[in-house]
Amino acid sequence: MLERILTLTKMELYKLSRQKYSYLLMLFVLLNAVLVGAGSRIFPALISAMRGGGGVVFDGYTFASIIASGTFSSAGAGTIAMLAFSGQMVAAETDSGTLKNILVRPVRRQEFIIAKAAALLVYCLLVVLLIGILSAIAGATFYNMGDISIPETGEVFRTRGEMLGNLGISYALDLFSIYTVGCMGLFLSVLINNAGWAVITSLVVYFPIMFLKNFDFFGAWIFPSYMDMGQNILREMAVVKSKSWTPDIYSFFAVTVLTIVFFLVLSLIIFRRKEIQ
Amino acid sequence: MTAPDIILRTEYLSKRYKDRWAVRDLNLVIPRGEVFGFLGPNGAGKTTTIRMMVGLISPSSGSASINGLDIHRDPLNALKCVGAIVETPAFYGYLTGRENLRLLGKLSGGVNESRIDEVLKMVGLLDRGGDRVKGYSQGMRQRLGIAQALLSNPELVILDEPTNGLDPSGMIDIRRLIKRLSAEQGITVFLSSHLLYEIEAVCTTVAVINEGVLMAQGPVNELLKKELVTLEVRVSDKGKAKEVLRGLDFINSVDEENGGLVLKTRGTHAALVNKMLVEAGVEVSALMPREASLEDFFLKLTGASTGDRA
Repeated sequence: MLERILTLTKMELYKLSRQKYSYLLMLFVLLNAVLVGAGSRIFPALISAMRGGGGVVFDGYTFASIIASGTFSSAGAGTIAMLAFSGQMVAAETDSGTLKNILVRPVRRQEFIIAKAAALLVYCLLVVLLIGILSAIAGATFYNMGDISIPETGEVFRTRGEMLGNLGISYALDLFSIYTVGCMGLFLSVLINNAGWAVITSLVVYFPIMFLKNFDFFGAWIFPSYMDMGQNILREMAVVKSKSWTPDIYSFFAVTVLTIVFFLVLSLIIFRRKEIQ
Repeated sequence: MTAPDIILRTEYLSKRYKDRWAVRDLNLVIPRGEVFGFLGPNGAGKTTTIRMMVGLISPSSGSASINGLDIHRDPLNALKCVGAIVETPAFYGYLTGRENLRLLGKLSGGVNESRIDEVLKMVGLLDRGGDRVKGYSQGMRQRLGIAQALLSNPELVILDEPTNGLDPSGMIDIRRLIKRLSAEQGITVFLSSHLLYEIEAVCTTVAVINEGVLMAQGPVNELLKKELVTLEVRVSDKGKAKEVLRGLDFINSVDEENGGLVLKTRGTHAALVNKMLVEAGVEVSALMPREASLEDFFLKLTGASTGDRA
């Protein structure tokens, strides 16, 4: 079984590497990372406002600005790209008929879905890694990547190494966040046979769910509430000495991991029973 | 017939969509090594049956088994020896024909580059294997579909209307290929078609389906060829010709049509008809068999079964 999943995953990755669509979506996210990084230097107030900072520009907040530019791309552009990407993963195969070529071979349906989810994870990892690298380059170009100190006293409260470690944690959280979004897209892709409709539905369904995070009752339980948590904690870390990842990270993992499992299990159940016309 | 002689069997296979039966109580037995024709008009339930046979859809009731393995209980083992085209073959347009086959070959297992060359050659696509599929014509895609079905050296090949979209020479090539696969490699072929003459030309056994119900099943030469043959005759003296022809025991009916005579005969007796007329002094200016249409065939089958019930 493992061997077949591996073969199917390799097949998926090979297909992704040959599709223009995968590159275009990645380019969209990466351009966003660079432009937001550069924009936050040129139009600091505007970008701060876009990030929800209310137009306040933090002085001496250089490291976090760079990092935030990248995480901004993950949370915003990354979400849209991931919905557009995962929304067509199964639907495009059902729609075009290529799915039949696969399923008339000795392959279990659940293996096919697991391979799709694995390929999606690899794609998310690539997107997050590239955003990280690009935002770091943008940061080194537009900002000082030094230690973070209190401007009045000059006391260093976060070293460069510490912040780089936190940057890594922030991107690891981003990986989980955008993978959760991807799994939602994959689920809708299993449900809807037409690739175009599956992508549109993924995008249309996501935003009302995101809106729910504004209500206290839902906020803690739905994954869009945690999409930009890594970025927010990192930004706080740059200005508040006592800020740490815990305890927020616990609820982050509880909600995102459960959501990933929920969408994947549902996809497996539905796809197993799906009639392939 | 013993179990090892049967490669594919359906028992009371049925599929119901809401209030309509697409296939109902279908019992098929496909012996190993046969070229089995599955004949029926468009919408008769052929593709639905094939989808159930390869596990793409679940039957509402009944079962389908390949080599004795139930396709819905043990699809992994049942499908190991099967190659199939279901409806129009589809491929990744951004990949070449060869790349598509390579990917599918990895899923089937045991397919190397020389096998890919072999199947591409079989279907006449060896020179175009390196081209992207999005540039292929409908006929080329159809051929590539057959190539992918043959990739893993299957014991059973299920082909759903494989000559759709092909030009006449392409159709002839595919029919030759099907015959060759059976004769040289002992592959069992399940060929679905709505073309009566295609089934006659290629198949050894045939099952006829209409409106989801099996109407007849048996050897082609018994089932299709025992049907009445229609002959059109142009003669100098119709009256005398009628008199002669009505006296012959293999003539079922003689009617006037479009200035000539139309005969229904049991079996092909064109030469004998010509000889009898000439010997009786009737000049024959034309004598030609009329191709039986699928509609005629179905009408005959329906008529026969109605008669049987009565």
